[in-house]
Amino acid sequence: MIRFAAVVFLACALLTARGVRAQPAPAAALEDTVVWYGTPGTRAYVQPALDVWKQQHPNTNIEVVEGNGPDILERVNTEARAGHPVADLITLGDLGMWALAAANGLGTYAPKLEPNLRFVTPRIRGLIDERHRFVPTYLILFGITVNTDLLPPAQQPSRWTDLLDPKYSGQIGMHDIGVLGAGLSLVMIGRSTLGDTFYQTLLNKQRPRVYGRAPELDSAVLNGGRAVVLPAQFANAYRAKGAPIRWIAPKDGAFYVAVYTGVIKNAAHPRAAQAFMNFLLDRDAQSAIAAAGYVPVTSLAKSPVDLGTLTFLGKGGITEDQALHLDDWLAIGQRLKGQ
Amino acid sequence: MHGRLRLAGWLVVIPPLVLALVPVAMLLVGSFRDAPPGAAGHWTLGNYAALWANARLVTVALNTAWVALFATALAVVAGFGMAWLVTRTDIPGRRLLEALAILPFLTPGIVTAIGWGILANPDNGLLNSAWRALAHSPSAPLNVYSYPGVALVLAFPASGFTYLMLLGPMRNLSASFDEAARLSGAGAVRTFRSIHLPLLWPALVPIAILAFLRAIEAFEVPVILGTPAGVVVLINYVYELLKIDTPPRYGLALALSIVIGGVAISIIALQAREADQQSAVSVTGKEQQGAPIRLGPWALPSLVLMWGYLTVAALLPLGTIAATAFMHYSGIFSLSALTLGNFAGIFGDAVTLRAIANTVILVVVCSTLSAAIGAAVAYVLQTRRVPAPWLIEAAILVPWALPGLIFGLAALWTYIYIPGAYGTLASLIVAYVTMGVPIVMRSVRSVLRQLGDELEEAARVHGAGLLTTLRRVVAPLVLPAIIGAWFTLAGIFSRELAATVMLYGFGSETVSVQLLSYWDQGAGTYVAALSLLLVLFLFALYAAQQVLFARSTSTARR
Repeated sequence: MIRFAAVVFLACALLTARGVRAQPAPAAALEDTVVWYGTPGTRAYVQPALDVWKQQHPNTNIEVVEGNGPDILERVNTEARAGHPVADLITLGDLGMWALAAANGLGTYAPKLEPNLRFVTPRIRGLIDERHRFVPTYLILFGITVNTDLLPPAQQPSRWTDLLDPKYSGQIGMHDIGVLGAGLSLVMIGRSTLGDTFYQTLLNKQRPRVYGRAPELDSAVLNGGRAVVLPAQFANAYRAKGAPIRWIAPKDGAFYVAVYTGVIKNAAHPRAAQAFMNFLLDRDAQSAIAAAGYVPVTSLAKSPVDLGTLTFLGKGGITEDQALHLDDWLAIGQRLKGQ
Repeated sequence: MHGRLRLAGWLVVIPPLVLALVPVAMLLVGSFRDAPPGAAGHWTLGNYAALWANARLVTVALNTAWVALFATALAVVAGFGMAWLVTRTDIPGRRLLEALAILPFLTPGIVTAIGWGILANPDNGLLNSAWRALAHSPSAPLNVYSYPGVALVLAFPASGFTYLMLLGPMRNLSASFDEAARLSGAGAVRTFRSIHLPLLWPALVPIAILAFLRAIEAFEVPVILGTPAGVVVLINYVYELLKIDTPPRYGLALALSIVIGGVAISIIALQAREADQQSAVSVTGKEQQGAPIRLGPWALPSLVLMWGYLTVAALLPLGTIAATAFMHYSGIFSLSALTLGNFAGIFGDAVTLRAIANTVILVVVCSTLSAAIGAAVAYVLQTRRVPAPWLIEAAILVPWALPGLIFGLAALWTYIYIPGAYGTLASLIVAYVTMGVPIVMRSVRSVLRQLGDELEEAARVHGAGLLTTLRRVVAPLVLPAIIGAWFTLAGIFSRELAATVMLYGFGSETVSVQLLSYWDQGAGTYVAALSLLLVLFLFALYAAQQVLFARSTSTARR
């Protein structure tokens, strides 16, 4: 009897574990392709999960197309205007995704095809679009990165405002705040806390080198060209293990960029696209994302950083209202730059 | 018979005319619309009003002018100097230098720009790091992400172009001038200053004008080195309006494109006029083998100067790219970092494999189609099968005169209205052929002009029909020009980026597009590995062309 009970218990446990591990979308036969548009690096960090997808769905190929946010966004819009949508699925940062949604470029997904949404952690649940146009896929965490060879611990900043100290003058690298990107996000999220004078003083007094692209900013601190850079991704420092850099969560608040995935309106392969969108929330995909240093949105993968230990700037991320007034924010960014 | 020939003439010229003029017309129409391509909108003058009111534009235009002028000046001096040294003097290692001087021209702009980005970025450029280590100074003397940096890197390919264009006129200078100078006791410097420079000046002016236009139109260098640092000239300003601003500012970009296109076409017209005048004054004699001018004490400084320039313009960036292709990290060179992983990485990338296949298809198909259509158009125009051939030629030349990015924008505005065309390889083929036909047409027409009508008339007098005359008389004489143009186009198409970046879509990526994509991702070592393959392909193409011409020349001599 005991043995029987043990067997039943084990079987139940195994079934439960299977249920947690895989939540495939209950769908009819999937189409043979998903054309997935994403920002640079998408393919590299999701590759381990793509291999798992291939095993699970050998007849549905995932074609990844990468480009910078504005380029990918406009490509989707142009395809729509040409009446020839090529992309099925798109993964974009918050500003781009809200812009696409506002331009009516996304279809709506069937919630029953996205069962993994129930694993989204309570903290992030608020990012799920109520109109079922896109789902949160991961968060990119931003703070300050220092080169530890150039700045010993005692000299490292612990707050954004520490960077106004004259000792950092000429040593700072900074993302451009007047164009779409992390610099502008810092303005949108941090302005209410840090005030305009923070950005103006930083730009006018501290003589930072301003970078238009993230790869140059990341490379500058990694190779010792700049002692400190902002806003810097946690993921880059996480991946560059052994390199003389350290990511600092500012005490006055880190922030995040939410990365969303949505199915393109009139997509040629909608069933496969929705199944893959659900797969991106599965354990394999979320674990691959976490391994690349990004914050998974579901409880199925362990986050590389405990969000509970961090303080966040403002609301932590960009709100819908802010995203829908992007032009105004770009103008503010330009004004703070003095242009 | 005459009517049928005229009809055949129209059938030959109408397709390239349509391909050339419809996109330009769409560009013009688009500049008066207030909506993006493919969307409904309204007629407006607002785009031109916005252009007029754009205070930044004056600064951008002035920056463009001085960057292009600086690049042209350096290109002309370097190109002229190199051509003179290898054709007219006894500089040691002349053969080797003659071959190496082509490198700045053969190396794609994107490769030179990225190579110099690794060498002279102010943060961790190799040259700056070396300076810091040697001088124990925290300063970085070189910054290629600047206006002077962009101007300098633009000058390198332009100098290769100037060098190539001047080789012919330099060789055609009669050796009797050198002989006379020698008998008069003039040294190398005086012969150069008093004889060669004045004689070649008429040839130099139109080449300098073309080099200036190339500097204004160049796309890769301003985008790679300028855009990240806020260094803005007209072309990367248009690119930013279209590809970086959110939402893209199509109206302003189109109005600006019309202005830039107008300037480019005016410059081409000016260049054509200068070239016509040049042909009247500089044909001073046929190529003659005379004793080269002895440099004497100037030999060593000349040698150092030429090797120094070639090192900076080509060998250093190419060497950096080649070394980076075998390293784990971009900009960090050590034996322990050696790897073949970058090549495994790019060959393991399905998009790169597709991009290589697409590029090969585009090179072969578009060069061949352009050669066939361009040669046929040249023949029809030269034999006046259609009225106003000069006007038709000018119209077909327009896409060639326009900067690639602007032609790409015009083509985008056109193809988007053709169902299923946007973003396909077929649309790239059409665009490339439109850009390629004018190059072949010009090249073949210049040969046909030299031939005159007599040979054809003689063939007809002897009873040969049109097809026989074409096959037995005209074709053999223009074939070398067609083959030469084919190779030129193959080189251009294998690295084309400016128009492609506007037109490609999923499935129609090219090697240049993939290079830009890797660069966007910050994957510097992959950029280097793919660049190295592209450069090797271009060198192989050039070598094949040289071998083919050497064979055909020796056959002709026999």
